[in-house]
Amino acid sequence: MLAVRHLSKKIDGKAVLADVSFELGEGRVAGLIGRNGAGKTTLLKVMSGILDPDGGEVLFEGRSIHWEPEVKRELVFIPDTPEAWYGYTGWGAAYMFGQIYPRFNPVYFRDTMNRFGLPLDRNIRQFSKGMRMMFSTALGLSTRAKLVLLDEPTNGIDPIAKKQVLTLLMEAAADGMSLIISSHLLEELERMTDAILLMRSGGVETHASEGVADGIVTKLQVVFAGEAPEAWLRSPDVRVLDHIGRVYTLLLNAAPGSAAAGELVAMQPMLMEPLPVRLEDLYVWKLGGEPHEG
Amino acid sequence: MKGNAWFKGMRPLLGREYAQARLFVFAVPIVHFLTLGMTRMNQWFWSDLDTNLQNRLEDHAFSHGDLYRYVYDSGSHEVVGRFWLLLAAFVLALVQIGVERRNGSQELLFSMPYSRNRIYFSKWLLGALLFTGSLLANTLVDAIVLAASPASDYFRADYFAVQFGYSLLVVLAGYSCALLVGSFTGSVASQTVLTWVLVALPIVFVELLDYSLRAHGIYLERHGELYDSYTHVLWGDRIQDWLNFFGYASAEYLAISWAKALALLALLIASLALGLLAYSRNPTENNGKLMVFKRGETVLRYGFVLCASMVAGLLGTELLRLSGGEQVGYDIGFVIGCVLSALGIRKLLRLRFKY
Repeated sequence: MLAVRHLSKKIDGKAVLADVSFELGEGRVAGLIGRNGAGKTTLLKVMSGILDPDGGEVLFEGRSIHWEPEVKRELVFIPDTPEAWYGYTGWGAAYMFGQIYPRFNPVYFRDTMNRFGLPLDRNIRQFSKGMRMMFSTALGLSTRAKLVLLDEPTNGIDPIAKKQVLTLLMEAAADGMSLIISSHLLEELERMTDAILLMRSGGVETHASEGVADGIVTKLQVVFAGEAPEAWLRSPDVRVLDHIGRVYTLLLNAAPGSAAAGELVAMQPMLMEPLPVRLEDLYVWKLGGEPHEG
Repeated sequence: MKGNAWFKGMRPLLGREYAQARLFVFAVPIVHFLTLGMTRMNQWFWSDLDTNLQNRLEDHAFSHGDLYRYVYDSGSHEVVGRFWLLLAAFVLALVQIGVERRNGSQELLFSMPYSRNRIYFSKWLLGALLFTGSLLANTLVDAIVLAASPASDYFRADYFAVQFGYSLLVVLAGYSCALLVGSFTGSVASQTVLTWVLVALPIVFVELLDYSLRAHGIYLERHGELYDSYTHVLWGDRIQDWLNFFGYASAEYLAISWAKALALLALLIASLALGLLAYSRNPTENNGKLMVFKRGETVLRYGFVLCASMVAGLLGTELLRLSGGEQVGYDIGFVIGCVLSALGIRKLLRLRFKY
């Protein structure tokens, strides 16, 4: 349904996107992760036609969203700040979207606003930051568009509201809507997504959410028999996640060709217990050594 | 059928433009009425009129020019109305483009299933409809007032038709230019400054260039042999006449000509076409900067340095009255101005403005 091909974008001379390519099928949910300033918002803005790419293309159902913007009737972008809706009430915004998006569902919008406890007739400017985000998410999902791009949908909202928003997103996914969610909520993303798009150095790596780190990294709890091998722990194939006394929690490079696991076995540690690898571990493994890119 | 769908598709865009320009939709016709219909009513209904008004009009209105001078005030009310509408057009263009760049509205619009050309055209269309409506309604009111006044014998329908048509061209050309400036500037501040700079540029630049050349002993067009007989360069006057927008806007009735109308029409078409082109290629990531296009930055950089250097040269001539003559003072000022302005514009071009 969505194909991003060789996207590149420079902003102020800096390559924010460099040869970004990935695909997303119908009804699939992807999490977009990366460090602050990695280019997540830029990627979403290019995918929604707000920014023009320097190179490459974004195809929605085989048609370029930049050359044929009318295909965006089935593609909605929900930004992290809905400032553009200041001056509108919930109903006013719904009326406008109802004219633009052919499958906009006002009943769904009303019900969702009620579910969030948001008044429909109050100016959005008077909403708190969290309320604005909830309104924005409700409005975007009410379009019932095939693909919804969300930039930090849980930005600034309290834990209860966060849970409500995530539930809403999961319901939308269950209804067959495709979502790309940019977020730092790694645990939630791992649970609710089919794929993870990891942004790094301007590029995107695609990982399946299930077994996200398979063949990439293993996580172990290790107790060394004697002194910890400092040089080995500092090697590029090893990352120390935690260290309490002689108990180390480690990530080891599991890619073919890496000798880290063999070297560890050869050291004959007192304890070597595998732990489940979470998305957060992959994130730390891939991005832990990188500075903020903003 | 396709055209119908196209106009139907414009509705949400026009609705959004209306929502953010609602104040203008009500205020513009009212203010316009105060400057035109109301003033005319004041002139004919509420002022003390000469008891021999009819005789006076007959005495004075014997010639074409006198008729318009005494009955229609030479069209000065229309001129004032045009300037109010131009001011409104300038502010409306700021709201529609400059303000939108920094409050997320442009991003919302660009994410919608519309081409940027269509978005820009909807903006222009709203303003065009507003100004056309205001001009039409107020010209009709003005005509009715005159038809009901003691000077009704001198009612001339063609006068009102000409004033309506010419004023419409002035206002739409000015509005299109204001939107065009918005399409390549990145903030409210730069749109404001550049709009007025471009309006004043033909006059100011010719004067600066003329002064700079004279400081170096170059007189482009002399009348006679002696320095004292030097008059303004004719080519400069002509450029100022042709390019001074206020000259067109302030044209009273008898000064309105087909040449002026065609020049305004050409300006309208060119600025609308260029605005569509610039907006469709808008690099949104540069919002907040002085200019959104790299080429625009280059033009601004060199233009600013050139003008600022000439101003500094002019100041140098006045402040440094050296024995070497005007040229030395000018050149010192020019070089200092060149360096300072180059540094200043370099810094300014890197900044991002909140507004």
